[in-house]
Amino acid sequence: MGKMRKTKSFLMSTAAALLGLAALAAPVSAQDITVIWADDSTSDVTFDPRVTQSRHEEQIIVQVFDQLIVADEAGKLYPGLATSWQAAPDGMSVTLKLREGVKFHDGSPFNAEAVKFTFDTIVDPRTGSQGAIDMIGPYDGTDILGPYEVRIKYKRPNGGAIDSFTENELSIVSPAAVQRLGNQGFAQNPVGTGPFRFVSWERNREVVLERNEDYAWGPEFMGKEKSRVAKIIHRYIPNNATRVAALEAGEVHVADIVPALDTKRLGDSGRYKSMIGVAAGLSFGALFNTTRPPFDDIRVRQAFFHSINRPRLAQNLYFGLVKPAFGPLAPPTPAYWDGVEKYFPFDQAMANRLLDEAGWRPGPGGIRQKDGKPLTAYFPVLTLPDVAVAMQAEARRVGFDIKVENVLKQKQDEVLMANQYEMAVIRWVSNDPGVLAIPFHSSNIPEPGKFKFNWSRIADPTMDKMLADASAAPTAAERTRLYGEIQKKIMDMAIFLPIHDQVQTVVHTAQIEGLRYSRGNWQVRLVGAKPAGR
Amino acid sequence: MTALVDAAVRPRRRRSATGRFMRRMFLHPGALTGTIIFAALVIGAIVAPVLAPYDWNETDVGMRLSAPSWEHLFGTDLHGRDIFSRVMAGGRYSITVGVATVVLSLVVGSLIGIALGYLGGRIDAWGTRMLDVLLGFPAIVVAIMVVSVMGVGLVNAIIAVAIAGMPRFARVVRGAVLQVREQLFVEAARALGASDIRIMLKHLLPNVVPTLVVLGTLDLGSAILSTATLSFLGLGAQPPTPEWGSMLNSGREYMRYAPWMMIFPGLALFLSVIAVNLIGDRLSQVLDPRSKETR
Repeated sequence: MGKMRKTKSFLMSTAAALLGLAALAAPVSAQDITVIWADDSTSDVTFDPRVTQSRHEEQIIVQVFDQLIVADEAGKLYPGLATSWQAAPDGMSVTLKLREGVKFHDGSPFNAEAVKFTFDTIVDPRTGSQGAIDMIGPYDGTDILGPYEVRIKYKRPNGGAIDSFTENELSIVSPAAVQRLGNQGFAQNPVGTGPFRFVSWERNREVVLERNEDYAWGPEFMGKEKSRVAKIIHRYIPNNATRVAALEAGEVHVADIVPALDTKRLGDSGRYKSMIGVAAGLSFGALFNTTRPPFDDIRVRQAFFHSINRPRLAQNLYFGLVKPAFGPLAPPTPAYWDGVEKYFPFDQAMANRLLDEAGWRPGPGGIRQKDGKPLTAYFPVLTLPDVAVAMQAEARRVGFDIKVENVLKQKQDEVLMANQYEMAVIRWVSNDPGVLAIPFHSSNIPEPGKFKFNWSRIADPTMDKMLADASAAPTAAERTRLYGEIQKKIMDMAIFLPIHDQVQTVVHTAQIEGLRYSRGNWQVRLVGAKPAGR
Repeated sequence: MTALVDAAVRPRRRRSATGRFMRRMFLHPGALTGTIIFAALVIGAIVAPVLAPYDWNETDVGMRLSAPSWEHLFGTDLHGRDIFSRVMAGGRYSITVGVATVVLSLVVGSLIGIALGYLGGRIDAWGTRMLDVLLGFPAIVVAIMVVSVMGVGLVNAIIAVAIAGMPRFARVVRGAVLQVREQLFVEAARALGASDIRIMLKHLLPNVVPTLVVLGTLDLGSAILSTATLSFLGLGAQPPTPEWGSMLNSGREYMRYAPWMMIFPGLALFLSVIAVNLIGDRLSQVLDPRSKETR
């Protein structure tokens, strides 16, 4: 007994001593923290900003690379690797002055050559660019005006040029590293000028990044302090429940794409903070195949649109975290036109009238029919099956029989290319209203062997011309006006049913603060993270 | 006096073979329980359109994720659909699919098994090897492979699970045929000039039927589970079909908030599988010629 008590008191004093040590050590460790991020995917293949088209890969890219111009969450522009910029009045070029004294992680200097190299290689087909190639616009070349001054030239006026320099995809890469490693090697071992340098990548498990000790050229809004984050561990945990469990067990500090109810619960608990980002780009919405019955008739499409109570759907499926969408572009996207908000209110009587007019009469089981054929539509679903089920149920009330099928990516691609579907849902994170060309330009109609995204299959010369004109608008104001007209046209044609905003739900432990969304509200910059309250 | 003699002389009343079978089968507590449960699930599935308290596809978002109550005995799901009605109706899919799967793999498997066992020689050697290869993969992996080739959907799931289950039937039937094939009545049939097909179907098949019945029943449980697994993975039943596996899947995200979305379909699956296993177990005892008549 006596011995036991002794042991216990010994243990307690040891514990006290350890606690004392910990208390002493705390200020030191608080200087440097490790942030463990849990990502919802394992699909990463490249961390080359010039090549990527993946929001997951960009979560790494945004830490490792810098952009010429940096936008904060609200879209306000700050000097990045460029200290100033000037667009030519005709929209044919932009001249940028570059920051001096910036070094890549491999020690090579950042200068005008690096900018020219990056942009020239983006348009080189050998690079295999998927995202940057669309964002760079009608790029014609870079003139080196001095070691720290460049002029970016375009084949046609490009009103979106300055915006485009804020994109992660147009981050500046180290020419020396690309030449040394080759494009393939660079994809596995990216070298930039960003606040973190790339250390290792274990496929499907984790990526490790370490602080770039030289980093002193961060954008103004990030503050001038040295980052407190010494290390970032980026883990891949694709299963939602597992990712949330890892966060709650303290195994990770931040998790992305947290399911709505968990986001709410964790945020309300006080021990976690939730960051809800409304992503720019295409709203999550459905495209309707205009080349096949029944949606080849605009009245049937309009009827479908009126049959869905979008505000209620968003409220119910996302517990108030997600807002309904009204137009093809999400509100944070540049050139968003708010006139879309008046279109297609929930109105079952209107839906019924439109279907009556189109000749679809009530039939057995509440499903309408015309010439003995039921009003059915095949709807292959790859993501968000609950939204499809909710729409299926709502549309049924006015007489649609929507055949929802949860498909794998391969099956989806097959039916889309073979034109064997009546509707499909799409979403696309982008900061450029030019994203509208992706689902609405006639050159993007999918066909066998060519997977593209114009799933409503509209080939409208006016639309094509409007898209071309808007992307070639010389000024930002003109661009906004032209893209506004395009949004109106899309709504008038009733080819896209906006359903809800795409939101990124990032939840992190309340022990850290200072995380910020990068532009577009999807990727999170971890450079500003620090222990809460310090 | 006469009465006494009468009783002694009158031959003991013989029960019919069916009667004996039924008695041995269902006076066993396990089999009886299994039968009652299974019958309840099947009847529930059959009468669901009439007796289910709600239309199982009717959504009512105002009631979404409500806990079990008198109004909704098993609670409601994300779309406010009544889970009790959905579980009841789910039997229409889950059980039918299980039975269809077993019948399919049984028919195909036993035809292959009989052919291999009877024909023998090189065909048998190669065929058996192929079956062994198929048996080497876990059934669900084979099923997923088949579905990814043919596409998702309930019918394809049936075919997939049937293909995955087929080799076991073929193997067992082949074994049984090997035993029967050398018996005199087969030789006699051959001597009389019966064709191979006739011998296989008329003489060999009836002799392996008891084995098939037992195997089929025992397999029904795992067939129900496998198809539910495929649906759980999103490869089987498609919305809004209230198949139990797909109900489990849609409840996954809400397990913490609305556990009833998973508990009740899970319970239905559990009960149906345990019921058919209880029946199958007893069936194998009763139909085993070596087993002594006990009670």
